[in-house]
Amino acid sequence: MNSIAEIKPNEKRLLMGNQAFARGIIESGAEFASGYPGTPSSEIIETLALESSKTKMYVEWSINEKTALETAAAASFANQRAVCVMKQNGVNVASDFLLHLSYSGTRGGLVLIVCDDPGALSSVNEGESRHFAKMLEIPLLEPCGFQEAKDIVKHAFELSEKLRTIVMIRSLTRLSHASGIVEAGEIFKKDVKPYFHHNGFILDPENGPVMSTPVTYRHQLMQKRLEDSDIFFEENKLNSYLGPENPELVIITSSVDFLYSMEAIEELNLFQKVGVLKLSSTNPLPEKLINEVFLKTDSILFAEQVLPFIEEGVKNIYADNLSINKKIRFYGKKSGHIPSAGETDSNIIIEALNKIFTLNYINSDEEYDKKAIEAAFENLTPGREMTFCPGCPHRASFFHLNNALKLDDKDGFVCGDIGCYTLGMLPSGYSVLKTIHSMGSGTGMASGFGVLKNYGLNQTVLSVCGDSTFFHSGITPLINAVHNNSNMTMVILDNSGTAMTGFQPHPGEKQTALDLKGTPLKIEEITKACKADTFVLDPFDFEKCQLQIPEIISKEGVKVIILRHPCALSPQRKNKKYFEIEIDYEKCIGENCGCFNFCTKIFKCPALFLNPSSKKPEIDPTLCAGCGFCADICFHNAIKKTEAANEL
Amino acid sequence: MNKALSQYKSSKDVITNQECIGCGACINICPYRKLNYDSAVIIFECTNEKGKCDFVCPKTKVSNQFNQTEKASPIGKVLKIYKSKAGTKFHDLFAEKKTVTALNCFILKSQISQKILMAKTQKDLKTIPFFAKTEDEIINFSQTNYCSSPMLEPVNLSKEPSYSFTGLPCQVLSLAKFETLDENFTKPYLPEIKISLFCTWSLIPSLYSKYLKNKFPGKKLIKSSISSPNEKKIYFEFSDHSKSEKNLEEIKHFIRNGCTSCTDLTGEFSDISVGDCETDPEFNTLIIRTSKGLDLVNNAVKNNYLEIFEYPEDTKIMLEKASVNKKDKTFKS
Repeated sequence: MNSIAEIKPNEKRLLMGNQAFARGIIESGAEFASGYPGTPSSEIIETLALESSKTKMYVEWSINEKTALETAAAASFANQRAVCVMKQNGVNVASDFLLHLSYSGTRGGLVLIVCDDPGALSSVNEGESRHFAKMLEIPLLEPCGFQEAKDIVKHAFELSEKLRTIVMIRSLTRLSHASGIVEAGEIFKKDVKPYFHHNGFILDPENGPVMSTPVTYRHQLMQKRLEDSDIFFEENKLNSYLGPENPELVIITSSVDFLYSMEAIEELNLFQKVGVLKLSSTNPLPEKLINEVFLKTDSILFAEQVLPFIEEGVKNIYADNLSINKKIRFYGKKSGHIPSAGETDSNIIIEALNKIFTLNYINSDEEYDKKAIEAAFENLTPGREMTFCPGCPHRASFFHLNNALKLDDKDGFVCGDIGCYTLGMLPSGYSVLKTIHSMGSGTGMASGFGVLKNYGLNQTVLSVCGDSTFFHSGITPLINAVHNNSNMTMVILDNSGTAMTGFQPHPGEKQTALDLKGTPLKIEEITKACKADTFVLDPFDFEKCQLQIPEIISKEGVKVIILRHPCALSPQRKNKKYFEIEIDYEKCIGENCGCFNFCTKIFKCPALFLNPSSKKPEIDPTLCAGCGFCADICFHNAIKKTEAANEL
Repeated sequence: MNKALSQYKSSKDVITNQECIGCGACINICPYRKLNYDSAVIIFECTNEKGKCDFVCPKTKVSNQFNQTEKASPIGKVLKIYKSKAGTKFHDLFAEKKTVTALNCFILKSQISQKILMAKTQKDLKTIPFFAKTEDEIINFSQTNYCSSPMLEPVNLSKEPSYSFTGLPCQVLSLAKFETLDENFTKPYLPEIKISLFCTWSLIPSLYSKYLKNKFPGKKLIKSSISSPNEKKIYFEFSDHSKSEKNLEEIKHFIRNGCTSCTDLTGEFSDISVGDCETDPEFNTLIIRTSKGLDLVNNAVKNNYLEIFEYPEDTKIMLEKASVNKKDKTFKS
């Protein structure tokens, strides 16, 4: 891949949205970047880390989002330009600090980039970060395309330094992960040596100590800043109206919905009737521009994701506008024209315009839809449920956990957590996960269930937690469980990296975002120090796990089982097979009683498939990662494993 | 409908209704099921509607597997019934009646089988299935603790012939069902001789051992006995020669659910059934049901392994009554 930092000014490149943000950060001359991996945000820090040798930027994968923001804020206090990147859930984690930071203000430009995930394509919620900007009273920018994704970062830094506040940029999956043409700009270099001035008067924003008190004073200051940001938006023309002078309808929109809106207008050929107010700053909303729109039109459609954020703001401005004396018809989430849950796309906006203008536009081919549905129900298309990759240690781990819980026979359950292993709630993880919430919550809940044992709860309680999740927020609930004499087993599924988001390093490794000089912390040393009875096992050690895990979970107190094996896609395992796998068809009894196609029906490794004519399993050698676990689970020893000769 | 009459369609129903008596007949067939000592547990749901487990489970329906045309007596088919006790050969070794021990020793001696599949009580009070290969092993491990153990767990794995079996009526029923398996299923090697012990109920091992550990901490139980049902006491003997007793009612909390739906007191599907003799505590009751059983007893007597005496008619009537009572109780529950 060509270097993002080395793109020449005015050169045009096809960049992924997150690369565009990264280029914007580099162009802004940021000295400090931190974040916690989370789809769809991870590529920003990754790109910055990759370019760090050229940019000399400090880049950090932090332990969690709160700490990430704290480190970035420290850099800002030391007069550096700093950026902090996270996904929408991360803002929840960082919000405690963020609330205080918005009061205390900043020094060097501090920009928070949050990537939301409407439709929860790779999340377990579709929560919106925009409401934090409103609650915290900080400026919010929403770029409406790829070029703007890059350009807006520079504005954000300038605004942050001008107002002495953190500025938030919100992206969406479809902006972060799609690609578009971006023209590069000059790289700005400020070259300020980091220094924290703290000996000045308490209210001195440049030399005094930095804190959120006196609260009322600072709160007023904060609100003044927000008013000033409106002027900044106007000066920099972040928001603009496109379309006819007197349109029948104006779409007020931001982010990717701007692109969808333009597509919808083109598809329906409504250029003469419909105008678009493109908002790249959504907190505060540009009142002047919006009031101008009220004069232009009688109808407004809001296109945004997910909740009616702009919609409610615009309605507020309308209610406050005493000079306007005409009725405006609002279309959007409240009217039901745009859904307020899930992702939007151009079809949804086409549908809304279709309804408003009664165009009788046929959006889809009904005949095709019917055939597609029929094909799905007649099993013409293969079932593709979400599953673990071939060779995934999690499949083995869940196989053992299911075995232990069933043998235990106390209707036990596992409190789930966030990672690839969230799939443990599905048949591919033998459906052992029964609660899924935020990072670290599984162990917190297990701690709570576990203390209920003293009040009559006689079920066996387990939690699972990934290695990165353990550092992120798994240690605190473990300590809580130990201190309060809970009865539970925390299972740490250690696959040696933040696997789900692409192997970003965590504090358990030497690798940092920049180099191999990190100080690794051993998980078992931490859990032992937390006084939890700790056991380390390899999930691919079939006999040991089958024997020991049932014993461990039936013990009293707080236990930790570390099931450690690197992810099948990790750099150390990728393209390396431990075993060559072969099926002995003399021994395989297929669908007969005694097996009933256990490997393809229950074990469900994608590399094993049922040959429909022979009714026996086969191995797809391309998919098979050679972990050998299928040979262990085959009851009739029909799957043979022989050590693989790896050619690298 | 009452449990005994309905009889479950599948062994999965037996497990989910907590009627499993933990015999182990359905274990080691497939990867879907395992034993957690007290009972079989379903590790993975199997959707096969006609599984071997359903055929061999003693708690599933006994369909047309058995063509019994002879008139049934309340204690099953009887060729001969005797009072019995171990023969003169054993008089130096032990004083008890121990008919089963004597018969099993004779099975080894006469090479009818190479080993006896029987229960062995471990230190933790749990009994496990055990293949006894010598007379010493048979004599040393022949103690009951009123718990049923997964005696049939090794059956599906039996790769060589030549063993005999001693166990409870339900286990013997399962073995009889194994014999009728059709060609669709792998039929394991089955025991040559099936000896059934009389049984009114058995205890859930894990609960009972927990109870004993609680009541007699640090003691090692070597023998427990219920001398007579009327006395309503259970007697314990420990390794330090101390003795103790408890009310039977206390123990009855640990009776398996599945035992309350059982109609078989005397092991009606055995070759030989052995129990106490109500009217004479010095002797066992010995019911011979098959010609194989008859040959064994006759030869054992001939070789001084066993002594047999005529069975009193009134005692037989009592036994029949007891058996009818158990059936009645089940049907009424």
